Amino acid sequence: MADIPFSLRFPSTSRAVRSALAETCTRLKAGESGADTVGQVEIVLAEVLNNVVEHALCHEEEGEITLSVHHDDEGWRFEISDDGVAMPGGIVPHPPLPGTNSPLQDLPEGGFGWAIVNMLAHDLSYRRKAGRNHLSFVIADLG
Amino acid sequence: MNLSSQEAAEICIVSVNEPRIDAAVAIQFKDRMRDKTDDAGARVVLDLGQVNFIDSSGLGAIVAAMKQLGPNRRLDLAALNPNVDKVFRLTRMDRVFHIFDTLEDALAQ
Repeated sequence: MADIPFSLRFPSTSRAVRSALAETCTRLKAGESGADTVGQVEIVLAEVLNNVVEHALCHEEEGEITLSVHHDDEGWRFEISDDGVAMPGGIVPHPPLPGTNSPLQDLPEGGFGWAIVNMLAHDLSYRRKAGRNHLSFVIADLG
Repeated sequence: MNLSSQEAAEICIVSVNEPRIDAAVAIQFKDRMRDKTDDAGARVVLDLGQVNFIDSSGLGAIVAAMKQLGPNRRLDLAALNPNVDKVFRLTRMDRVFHIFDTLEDALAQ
């Protein structure tokens, strides 16, 4: 795993998030992660990073995100840091999955992000330190 | 956001000619779906065979596309790649849509 661990630093835009996801997936594949693991990583990382772009940095002119990735016995460990506003309540959101039994016009179009993250990631941890948000989590190796 | 459409046996087939429906293009996707399905009949099939990733914004945009068809038309999905299918299953949205393994299966329905 010559390319692991690694860190990426990128602006808080959805286009930059795309590039960071592509780079991360390429490196994980090079580290011989299977398609299921890489797919799961991409889903979780996309939700977490999109959330940073949409909420934490929405008032910042030039927000910046850093992503650090390493691998240990538990699997892939991700640490994401940004200089945007603090997470509401200072904790990792754990909302219920939006209901899907509603009539057509009431079906949910959002609110899935953190529910998905909580289903697929473990050891989720958040702290605010020196004006930055720090979120970390683990995705297990699925083979 | 490249979408193409064709009619087959009164079914409007919309193909997503992109690898991703994500936060960067979710709004474009919804708008392009409106353009492509404005004149569609009672059934629209969304061919996702070229899409290998959606996030929750993309999922929301597909739900929005179904809503904008109104109550008298339906949106079915075809050819979901494994990672796309996973997002539908995790969010229970696989219970909301008719999902077909292939476009051919959807058209045979």
